[in-house]
Amino acid sequence: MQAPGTPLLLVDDRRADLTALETLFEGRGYELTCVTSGDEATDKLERREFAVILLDLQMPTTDGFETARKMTDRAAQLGRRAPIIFGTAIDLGRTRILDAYSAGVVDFMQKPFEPEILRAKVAIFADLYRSRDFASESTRDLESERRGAKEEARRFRLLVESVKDYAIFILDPKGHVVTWNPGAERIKGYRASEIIGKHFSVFYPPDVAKSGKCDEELVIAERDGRFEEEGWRLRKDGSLLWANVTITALREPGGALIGFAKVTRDLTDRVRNEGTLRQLAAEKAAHAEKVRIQEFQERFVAILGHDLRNPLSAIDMSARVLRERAASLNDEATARIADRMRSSTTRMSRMIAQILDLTRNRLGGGLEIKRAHMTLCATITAIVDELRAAHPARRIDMHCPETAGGCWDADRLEQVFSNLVSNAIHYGDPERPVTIDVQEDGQAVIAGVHNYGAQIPEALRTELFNPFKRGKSDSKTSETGGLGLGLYISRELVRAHGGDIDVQSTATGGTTFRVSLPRMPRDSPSS
Amino acid sequence: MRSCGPMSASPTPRNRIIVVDDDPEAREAFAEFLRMRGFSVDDFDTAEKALDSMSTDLPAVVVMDINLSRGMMTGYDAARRIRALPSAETVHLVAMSGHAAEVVEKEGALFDAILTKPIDADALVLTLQRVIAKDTRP
Repeated sequence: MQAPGTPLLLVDDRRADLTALETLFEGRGYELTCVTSGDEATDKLERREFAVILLDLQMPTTDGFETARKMTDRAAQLGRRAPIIFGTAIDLGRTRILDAYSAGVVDFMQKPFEPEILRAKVAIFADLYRSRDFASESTRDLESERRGAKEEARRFRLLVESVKDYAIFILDPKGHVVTWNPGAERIKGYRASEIIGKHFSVFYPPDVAKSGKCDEELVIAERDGRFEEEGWRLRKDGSLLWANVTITALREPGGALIGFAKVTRDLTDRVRNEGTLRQLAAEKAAHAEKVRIQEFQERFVAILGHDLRNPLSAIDMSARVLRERAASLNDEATARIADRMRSSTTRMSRMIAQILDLTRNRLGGGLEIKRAHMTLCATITAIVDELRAAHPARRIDMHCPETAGGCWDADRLEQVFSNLVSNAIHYGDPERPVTIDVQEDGQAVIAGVHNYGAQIPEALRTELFNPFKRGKSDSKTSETGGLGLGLYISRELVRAHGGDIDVQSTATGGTTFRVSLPRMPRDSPSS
Repeated sequence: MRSCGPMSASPTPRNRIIVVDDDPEAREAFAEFLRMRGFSVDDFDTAEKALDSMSTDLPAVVVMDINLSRGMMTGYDAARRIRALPSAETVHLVAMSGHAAEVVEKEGALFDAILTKPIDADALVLTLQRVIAKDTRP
């Protein structure tokens, strides 16, 4: 855009002269306003300032002097300058010239105008006008600069005040809060009135605040210009937030420290999400580990259950073949060898079965039982018959009501009572009987297995049921020599039925293992 | 070429047993034990060999390990082949497996009895006697 020309007001009652003047200044950087009367000229002056006013004196309606005076006065009122050059065809004489000057006229031009001289004179005033205009423009620039700075500060304040995601505030050089924005209020929980003037250590957990960390941060910010970290901060309500914190030193242009800008961002959610992700990953790893352990356990159980036991079954069959051949040949020595092989095989088979139970119980969350309606008598009678056959010298008494039944796992209870009665025979006084006494007690059946053996010390009684624990015994016969898992597994099996085993032992009364078995599973209707 | 077994010539002895197991110790122990109990026993380490033998001589019972690792055929395959033989409708099948429940679930209908490994010698004999007693042939 081209700068506007220097404003020039041309006043003449003769159109032809006005046109001539126009021609004189056209295209020379002026903006021309042409009027044909003093009134019109005054009117123009109302609207704007002119660099020069060329005024012709000889006008019919208004006297030139009169017009000049009016314009000068009005211009003064408006705070404008109105340098008037009089154009005149006559010689004014000294008095009139002085009158003209007093009326505000600055110069005179003899008509007809000498174009060069007129242009030169106008140019002088135009220069004056422009230089003054420039000066005033500079003043305006300064003002607008001030206004701009103010506007910029206002905008910046608006920006800071509209930020909700960041706490943005200023600390004085000692660390006291000077400003506070809504983001700070939202994140930290303090209102501006509550926090301004307080030391910023209130944002730290007490132990951290006491450690001198806050001052350290300001020292670093002052030294390096900036301090940044992520850490736990305290909200007004005492809750913790995980924050990204930046502290920036604020300095005068000269370098003097005037305070610190502190920007805090709440990353608690992000940390929480990361925590959740970490937790998920850990759970996934734990699950994979669980699967791995389960696979290992299944493999282990398979090895115990089949791979180790299948050869035993082959040994057992071979021993039986050998035993019968020896018998048919009346070869007693070979028959004894075969018997030893069989009893060792049975013992090993039982130990493997126990290890299998222990493994299933420890790793697999309990022993599985398959319930069916049964009576205890049938099971116990079978065991007693077998043990009487194996120990013909021992007396085994048994009292069992036919109705002592329940919903139990027959194979597993056979395992339990076989273990208890075998133990009673092994540890009991060989001269006195082993007694099995079954009683009904409403919704439960109580079976006691008693022997007259040495008293089991108090301290050992609870330990007896721990895996790999054995009662004291010198002899280790094929019947009882085992891993010390029998009582442990027996109790686990009874517990799997919802019952329990306890032991009573006195010096004179002997030892009784008492099995209590609820007739029905606890979570099923007992009718 | 003979199309199928020799049944028309001589009736199958009621005590003839075939044992199929790829574990030689177990197989021979079973065979010895069953012979001692009065059975006539042939033993094979693969189902293929057992099937071959059956083209000339049909047993009363085939006792078969399910997981056979030596031949191409599993116990299931062999059982299906035997069941498909028109001449072998009188042959009883007894499966042996570490996972009896799995056998029952998969192909229970193929077998007259299923025994869980490790095999109890007495249980094996009892099972064979029971299966053969079921036989209604004249």
